[in-house]
Amino acid sequence: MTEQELRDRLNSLTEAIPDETHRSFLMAASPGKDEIVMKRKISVGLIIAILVSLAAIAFAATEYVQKFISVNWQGETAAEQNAAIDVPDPLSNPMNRIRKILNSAPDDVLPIIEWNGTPPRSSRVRHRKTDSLKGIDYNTGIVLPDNIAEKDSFSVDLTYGCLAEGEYTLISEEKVDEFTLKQYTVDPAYDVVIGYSIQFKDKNRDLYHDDNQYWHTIRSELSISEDNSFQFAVIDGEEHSAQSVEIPGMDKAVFINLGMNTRLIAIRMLNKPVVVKTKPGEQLLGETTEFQYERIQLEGFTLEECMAFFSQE
Amino acid sequence: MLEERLFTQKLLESEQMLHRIACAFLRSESDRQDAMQETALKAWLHRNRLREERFFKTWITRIMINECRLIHRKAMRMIVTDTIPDQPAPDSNELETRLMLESLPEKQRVPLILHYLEGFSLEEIAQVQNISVGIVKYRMHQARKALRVEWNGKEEP
Repeated sequence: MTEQELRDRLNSLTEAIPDETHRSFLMAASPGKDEIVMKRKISVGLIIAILVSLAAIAFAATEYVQKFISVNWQGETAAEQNAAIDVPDPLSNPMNRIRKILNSAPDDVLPIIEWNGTPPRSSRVRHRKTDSLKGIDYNTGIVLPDNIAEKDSFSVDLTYGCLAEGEYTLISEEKVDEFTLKQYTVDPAYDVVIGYSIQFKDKNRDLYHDDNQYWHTIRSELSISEDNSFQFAVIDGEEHSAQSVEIPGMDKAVFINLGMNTRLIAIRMLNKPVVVKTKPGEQLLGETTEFQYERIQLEGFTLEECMAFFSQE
Repeated sequence: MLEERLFTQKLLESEQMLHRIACAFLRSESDRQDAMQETALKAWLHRNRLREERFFKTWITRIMINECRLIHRKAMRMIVTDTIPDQPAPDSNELETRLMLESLPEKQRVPLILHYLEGFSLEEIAQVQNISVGIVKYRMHQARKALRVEWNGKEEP
């Protein structure tokens, strides 16, 4: 096959341009082709718009079907389920927990307690060193050494809200004849702790021999339990971690860190304490204080959380 | 970029050439018509890509070949459900030539058609296909060789 034969064969494939093809080509090639281009763009845009609309309808239908299935098969909408899943527990926020405690039962949580110098009978004494602290006077809430009878005297510092200051005499009818209540000195570190300390001297034991004036100190502090009863947490001879804090609206506040027993006690005085003398024959003799106060007790919160809450409030 | 009047003039001058190329690639006249129309429109849309006027011929040819290729692919995927209108039977020589041509790979067919049908030089074909002249020569040699075998095989019996 020569090149000429090949050329002839290829030419045999060609035909004259039909009129219709010629016209369409002329139309596309003539100056009016912008309109054709525009029409094509419009048609492409139309197709895209239709596709987008169809996609939107399909999406909406899918949502509807899902909602329908959720409502009819599970009794609640998917949105409600999602809400139940997504919304965190409000009480997971310590601020909300504090607010709930304060708002839920204000009468219980913020009782007005008349303090007549004698803790309620529901008081309990907690102590760490039970060997040396077996004697418990539930009427006073004061821990007495079990061998109290062997001691000629001992004293008790009553630090009822650090408001009482003066000489006190406490007589336990059962144990000893006389207590000498030493003058209480306000300690700035604990000036808001309602508590007491006991000092006693033991003349029979050399250990405490120091001109027979060797005093053993048991410090206890008051906290308030969930059932609004008082508790005395005894910190026998140890410095406990307590931090005096200022809380707006409260007269006194202390954040007590006792390991697991961390709590905030805030006190608002309703009236100024007055020094009264209890009548002879009562369990607590001598001068003591009488006052009313409102207290807030919060447990399980860090100091930062408590302070953050009250600074917000 | 060519101004509109010159562009239109060049395009109209290329009509015969484009139609011949379409004839070589496509059997159906309606496909050829589509190919030519699309080529004209695409050339207009992308006329700013043409850097120099002297490249118009190879540029429009490349668009045309691509369009033919596109239509050919669509035709391969298409399932005809309508009744095909009666068409006059092609000449046996023409049919034989078309079949031989279609038996060639596209990369060999294109330079063959452009050279022997449209008189493109090897350099122009190289421009259309964006390949080197050496490759064009090689492909044309391969195409001629294949056609010769095919041609001799038909004539011998």
